[in-house]
Amino acid sequence: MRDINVVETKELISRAKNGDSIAFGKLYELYFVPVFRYVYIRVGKRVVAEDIASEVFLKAFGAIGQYEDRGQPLLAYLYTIARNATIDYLRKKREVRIDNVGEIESQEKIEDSVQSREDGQILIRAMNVLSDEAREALTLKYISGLKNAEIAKIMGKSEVNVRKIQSRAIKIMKVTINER
Amino acid sequence: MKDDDEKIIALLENGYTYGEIAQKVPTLKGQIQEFANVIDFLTLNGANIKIGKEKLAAVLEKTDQYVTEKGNDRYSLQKMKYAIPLFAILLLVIGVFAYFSYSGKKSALSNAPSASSTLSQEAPVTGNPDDVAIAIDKIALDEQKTVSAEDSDTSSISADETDITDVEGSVNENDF
Repeated sequence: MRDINVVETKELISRAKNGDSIAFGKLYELYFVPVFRYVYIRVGKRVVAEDIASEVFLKAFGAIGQYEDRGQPLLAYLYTIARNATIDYLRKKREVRIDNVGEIESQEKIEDSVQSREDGQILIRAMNVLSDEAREALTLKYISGLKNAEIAKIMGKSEVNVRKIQSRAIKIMKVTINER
Repeated sequence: MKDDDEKIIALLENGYTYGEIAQKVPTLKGQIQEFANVIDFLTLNGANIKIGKEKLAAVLEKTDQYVTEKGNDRYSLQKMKYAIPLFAILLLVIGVFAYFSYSGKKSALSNAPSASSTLSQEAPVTGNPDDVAIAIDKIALDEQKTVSAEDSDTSSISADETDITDVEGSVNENDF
């Protein structure tokens, strides 16, 4: 993630702010996959993750005029939007699950059997034992490559708290990985 | 109180490598290997999460269409944003021009000499009929003087004509 050229990104953001759709397209190409990964690990479904990641970019483009570089990289800004979109999705999913438990579970089994052949499913299965918060803290740190200070901002927690969440999550993951 | 994993996380965050941590805190040596296994598992499998080129292109196309439409809207809004102040400036310029051209005409009209004043300056009227008669006589006298002078000029011309006739006559005589 860190190899994305900062100067080039700033230039692209500046152009995108002036309504340059080509510049925004380039930002999209640079950042879509990291955002998709983050969402995918949290929701566990490719199709849903693609839709949410697309939604993140549409929202980001709509609000790009208000984006100001205050030391926070664009990726952290995108993760913040992605986080909110994912929380919305998970909340709705929980609400639906209460109403139609049987129907949703059977649909998920079908989807899981298809997805099990795809990349990333091993990771998602291993992370399923973690709480949503722990999964997010690990994903942002070791898959997205953010620093704990940035993660703390995104998650709305202190750095010490983020580190404690990560430490607990790693302990659980050690057990999960050893059991495989 | 930090546990071992928290200590490792904090040291890695501060730029230490696994080897440096093991040297710095020998009690963590056993923990480091297990910790590193988890992190490797996360990073390697995380990097395997990819999106197919075709899928990415399809999603990009969908988003690009939205972005272009949105960009066009924004462009037209930007045009409107500039059009209003430009129109206001244009109105202001027209207003200023109209004001000065009107006041300029008004001052020119007030400074313009009237026909009656010109006439009164050229022909002062005293109201005395005798003065008028004297003036008329003076004009008549002047005209008469001018005519006499012209007459004298005419007589000289006649004399010249006579001379010319003589010359012509002499020429004729010699020739024939």
